[in-house]
Amino acid sequence: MSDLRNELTRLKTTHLAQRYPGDLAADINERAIPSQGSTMRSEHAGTTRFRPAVMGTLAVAAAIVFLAVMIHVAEQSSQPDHAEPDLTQAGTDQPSQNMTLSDLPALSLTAWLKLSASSDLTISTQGLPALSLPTVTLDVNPSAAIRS
Amino acid sequence: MGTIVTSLPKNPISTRDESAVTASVIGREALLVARAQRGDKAATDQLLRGVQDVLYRFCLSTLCDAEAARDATQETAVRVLRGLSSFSRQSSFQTWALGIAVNVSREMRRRQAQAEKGARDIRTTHATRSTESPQPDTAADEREQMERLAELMNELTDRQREALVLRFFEEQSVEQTAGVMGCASGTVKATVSQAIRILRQRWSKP
Repeated sequence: MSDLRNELTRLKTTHLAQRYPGDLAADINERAIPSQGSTMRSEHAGTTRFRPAVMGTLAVAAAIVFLAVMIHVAEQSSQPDHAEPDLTQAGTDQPSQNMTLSDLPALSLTAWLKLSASSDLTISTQGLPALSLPTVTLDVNPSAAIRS
Repeated sequence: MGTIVTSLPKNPISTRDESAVTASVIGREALLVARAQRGDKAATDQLLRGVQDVLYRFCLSTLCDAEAARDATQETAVRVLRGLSSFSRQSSFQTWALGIAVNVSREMRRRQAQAEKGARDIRTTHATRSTESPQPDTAADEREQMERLAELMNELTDRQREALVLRFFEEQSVEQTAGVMGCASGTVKATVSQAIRILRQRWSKP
């Protein structure tokens, strides 16, 4: 077994033969020295790099903003664009707005009559479909009337 | 054990000539540090190039992984540059930088816990270099012995390994080692002695 002293001396020789692989000053310049602020600027690249803590904060802030926008969009999409009036209930509920005939769907006569009975609803008769009402013929005899 | 302890290098500042040379070096280093502290990039680069190998060797010996050692060396250099304005020049620049490397290496070693992988890497490194020996059988035997010693060193505590590397491998004085490790000179002596005693005990076991 070799003497420990000899081995230590040999290990020392090996140790002292080690050299830093490259140029430390150049490596440090490339690595970019952090300044006092939260960001550091690379001399060679000319770009601004951020420390991990700042990057994390920015990522969290971006995530919060993204979530807020998504929630807002979801709320907006869940609401109807405009409430469609239930015209079949026009006789009981008072419509709060005037409507033109083009807004109205085809209705039965009963519905039209109900609509017309509504005091607050203004309906123009222009454009109404032609209604075929039964013709009533009165058979009146003038002479009989005179006799009676 | 005694033979190893007494064979440790003495303080390099021991003769008048060496003192004069060292004073010249220190004076030159002080000028570089002063220029670097005023923002002279060339002086800063020169300072870093002057300590890059010793920082890398120290990180390699404590982390036992080439890639981790390179990262640790770069991180040390970054911290050196950050703290350069506050460097009071009470110690040499190398001692101050090595002190930062000690902290960086300890942090990385705690984080990574890659002692086993490091042992493999240092074995590979030593094996590569030792194969330059002309006799294959001798080289294999030497490589085996060095692998075993590297494993034994890896089993030491961080402070024991740091003290041994700084004092024995890097030939730092007791005072310089104490300055790097942030402890008293007596603590350095005791830690080195303890490390060598442990190595001897484990080395003698078959």
